[in-house]
Amino acid sequence: MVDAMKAWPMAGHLPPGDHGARTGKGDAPLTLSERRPGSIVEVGCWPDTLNRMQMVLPQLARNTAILDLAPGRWWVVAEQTGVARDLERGIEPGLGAVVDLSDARAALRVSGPAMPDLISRILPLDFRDDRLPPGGSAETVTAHMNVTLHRVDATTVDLFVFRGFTRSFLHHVQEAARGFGYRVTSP
Amino acid sequence: MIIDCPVCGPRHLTEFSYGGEASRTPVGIAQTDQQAWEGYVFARNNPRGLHDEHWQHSGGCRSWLHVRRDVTNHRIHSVRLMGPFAARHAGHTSP
Repeated sequence: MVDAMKAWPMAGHLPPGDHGARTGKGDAPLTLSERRPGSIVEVGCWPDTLNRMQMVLPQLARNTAILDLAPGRWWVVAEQTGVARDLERGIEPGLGAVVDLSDARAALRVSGPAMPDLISRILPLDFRDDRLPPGGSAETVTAHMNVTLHRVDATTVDLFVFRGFTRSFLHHVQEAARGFGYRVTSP
Repeated sequence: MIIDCPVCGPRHLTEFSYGGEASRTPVGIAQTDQQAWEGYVFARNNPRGLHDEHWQHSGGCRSWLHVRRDVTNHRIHSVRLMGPFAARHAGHTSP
């Protein structure tokens, strides 16, 4: 459960400002900022409840992003807190299972025209639109860290990692981003 | 090497974990015959050419896959999803 006193995983580790190669005037090719969703919830079901869950979940998870990660496995990501509680009310144990991951992941938003080039350096994913369209998601690995990716739009992705990997992951991304030049903005 | 996961599409080898030869048949747990166990635990076909094997997409969708691969050139001939959701994915067969 997310509470008001929560210490966000990247707080203090991602100082705002311009970093890396000089970007000159105008917008930086990359912008990094911590994403602070109020809810990250995993929902799973069984083969015989898959059809029902595919109908029920979009109705229960309104105003959220639903990431289709694997057969019978989704993430529901939302700005508001308490989504896990709402889903638990609507998904009885015979239909599926709900696990609140809100405190278990760190999330980084990467945006800008150089985003696909940066991601190509660190993740083994095909970023052409027909493979990973805006709204799509993927789970992958970088430097032995599991990453869940949500492509928000053509030049923006949210990257989720296990919270304990926050500093290693940030170091990894910032090293790769330095050559492009990047701006860190407040969440 | 790229494995075309039936769930995720083509992904790099770094996302997968090898799960061993697929043609082995588990020995029943009540079986006490040493030779049967020795065969299951140690003996492998080790063919030159097509090889049936298990892979897990451990860095992706976590699904277990049945892969037929030519060990002489790493060409993947077919990938099939295993497990409870297998019936819902047809899988890919490379031309």
